[in-house]
Amino acid sequence: MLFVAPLVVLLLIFVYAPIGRLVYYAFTTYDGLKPPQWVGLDNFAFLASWPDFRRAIGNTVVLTLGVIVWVGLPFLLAVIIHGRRSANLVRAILFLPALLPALIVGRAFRLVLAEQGPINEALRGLGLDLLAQPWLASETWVLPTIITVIAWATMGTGVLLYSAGLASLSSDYVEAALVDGARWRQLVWHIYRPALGPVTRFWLLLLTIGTVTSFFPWILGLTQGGPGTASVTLDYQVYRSGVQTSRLGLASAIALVGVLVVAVLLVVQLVMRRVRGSDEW
Amino acid sequence: MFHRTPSGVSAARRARTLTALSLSALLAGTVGMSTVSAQDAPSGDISFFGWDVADLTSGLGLGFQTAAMSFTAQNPGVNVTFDAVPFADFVSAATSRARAGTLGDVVEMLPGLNHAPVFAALEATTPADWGDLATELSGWGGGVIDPADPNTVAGVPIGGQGVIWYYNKALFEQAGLDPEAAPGTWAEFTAAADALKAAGITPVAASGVDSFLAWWAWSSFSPQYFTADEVLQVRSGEIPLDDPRVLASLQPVADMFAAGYWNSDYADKSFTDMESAFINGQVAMIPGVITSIVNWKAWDGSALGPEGYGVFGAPKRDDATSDGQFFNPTLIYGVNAASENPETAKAFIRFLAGVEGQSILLAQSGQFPNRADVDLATYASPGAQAIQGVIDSRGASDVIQNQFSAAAQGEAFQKLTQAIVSGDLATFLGDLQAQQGS
Repeated sequence: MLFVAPLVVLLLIFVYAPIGRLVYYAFTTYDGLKPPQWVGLDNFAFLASWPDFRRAIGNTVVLTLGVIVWVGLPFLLAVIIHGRRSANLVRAILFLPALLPALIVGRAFRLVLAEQGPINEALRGLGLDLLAQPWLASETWVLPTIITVIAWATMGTGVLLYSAGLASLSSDYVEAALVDGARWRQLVWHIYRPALGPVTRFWLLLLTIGTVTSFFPWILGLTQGGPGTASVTLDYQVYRSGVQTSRLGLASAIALVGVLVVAVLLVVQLVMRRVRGSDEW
Repeated sequence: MFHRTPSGVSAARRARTLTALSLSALLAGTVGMSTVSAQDAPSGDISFFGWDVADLTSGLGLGFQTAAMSFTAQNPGVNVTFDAVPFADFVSAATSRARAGTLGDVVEMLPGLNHAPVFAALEATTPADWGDLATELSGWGGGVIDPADPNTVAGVPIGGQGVIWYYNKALFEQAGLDPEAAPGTWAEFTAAADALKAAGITPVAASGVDSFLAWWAWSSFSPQYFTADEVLQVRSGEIPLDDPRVLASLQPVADMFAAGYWNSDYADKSFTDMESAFINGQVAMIPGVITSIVNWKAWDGSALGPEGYGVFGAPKRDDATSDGQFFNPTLIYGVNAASENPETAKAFIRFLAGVEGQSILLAQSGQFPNRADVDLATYASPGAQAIQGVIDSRGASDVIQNQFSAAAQGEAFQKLTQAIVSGDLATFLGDLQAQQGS
């Protein structure tokens, strides 16, 4: 017990005490300078009736659906390049975007995806005017576009994780399946998918939590929440309310909702592990 | 009001510094140095906390740098340093610094309520505390902490600000319009815009990324529906933001979009993009401000040149019930209540607000003065003179643009363009009212 005491103290000071303050502020009005004033559940009542907050929740849920792409695409790519001669080179190239800060990638894509940007100009140049869209300026396209940009940026990390999983997979399973006449599609579904299950669950959880807590730099770089509030997410709304308009009580309440969502996701994941009767992810 | 991207080049900086020193010497000779006796001479280090001082080689930053050099030259015991923060994070940075005891001695703020959370960190004051400045400066109302107590302010108002429309004379001529005849009524405005459109010229600049241009356009029409007193009633909550007059003042901006006057790529553009587009002759008219950015000083120093543009107040609408032109302090300067050197901080603010300080800010940064004894003709171009003409002819309302709380203004910047595009202005104003009261 004595050995873990320093760690416990550090955790209390730097993790749990701030969370405790956050919970307290969520029930106050606080502008950062005057002492917080207790308002009970007023902040949450306001959130319940605030269209912007509902929109932020809705946007976050829609973006969370992007995990299907963010997980599925790297899985397929990792399987495709597995065992090939140039696999390391491909992995390195795919991983490069992960080294760039999200804000910078967002800003760059903002230029690339502009109405008169290179993508639309290229489409128009090919006579495909109908396909040129206001990717980030249209309420219809903005969320799918964000999902696509994030897929590009996170693909390398996903491929790396899956490649690590594949490296630890015994080739006996694959060879046995091939001897039995399995096709590539059957290999993917019956061998690789279950074998990489722990990686998938881990990556899925990481990305899902990320949509609630770490989307801020993407949104700031790509859309600043726009057009209107069409791409405001929970964590971007925390920035808007807390930093831009100095309503720290309200921002804390929004953040607390985010923490609760993450906690629920973790509990669900824990329950699933118990149901599987496994210590694996 | 918003800092520019730093573009400092050492040679350019040296040249500007030399110019600044020359100007300081000239001003000291022409308007008289504000010397003080040795016994009460300000001394010690002070820091200036704000967002306009990120780049000291252009915009307001250059003016402040020049003014600080002149002030310290006259007060050898003083050292002024600048502490810059991004505009968007100003309130949170200021409140965090105040809690940590590291807030600057002089604090820059927007007039009105946008930076209201910072007031608690400042030394509350009254105009009378500032001696002659109480009567020499206009716009003390911009610093009022609580509308119920209009005599207590967060700081001293310095500079003059308002919203105005600029047009490109060459593009007007290209469209067959008289380049010297600025639109005065809504009918004249739409006729000009239609002619520009027919000539293949984009009539009006809009910036969907930040909504600032639409916001300024809106603020330019507000005095046609609100008197100065009524604008203050909006601030105090007596007039809600879903009042029909607020909708009427926003309607012209929506009408411009509906008529197809905006640049087609408005959604991808920021106000600085459109500032460049106006300079480069890609758009004929742009709503801007009279001090700092998107203003006459930016045009004067560009390819457009001092003779290349004209100005006009918001064209008068048929249903207008009033007429006027917002003209309010550019910024408010307060003294940190925890300052270790408050007297020197106040001396610097007095210097900035005085004839010499405001002359420097006008000459270096294009900031309009909020005192009558600064000679605009000496330092400003024909564009600035024309703006003064609009102010004189329409009557200046001594209030800031639209009077919103920080929350409502944040909401407006986030949603204004989209609300105009969707046409659902009533819902937008209802949302703003919810924020104004929250």
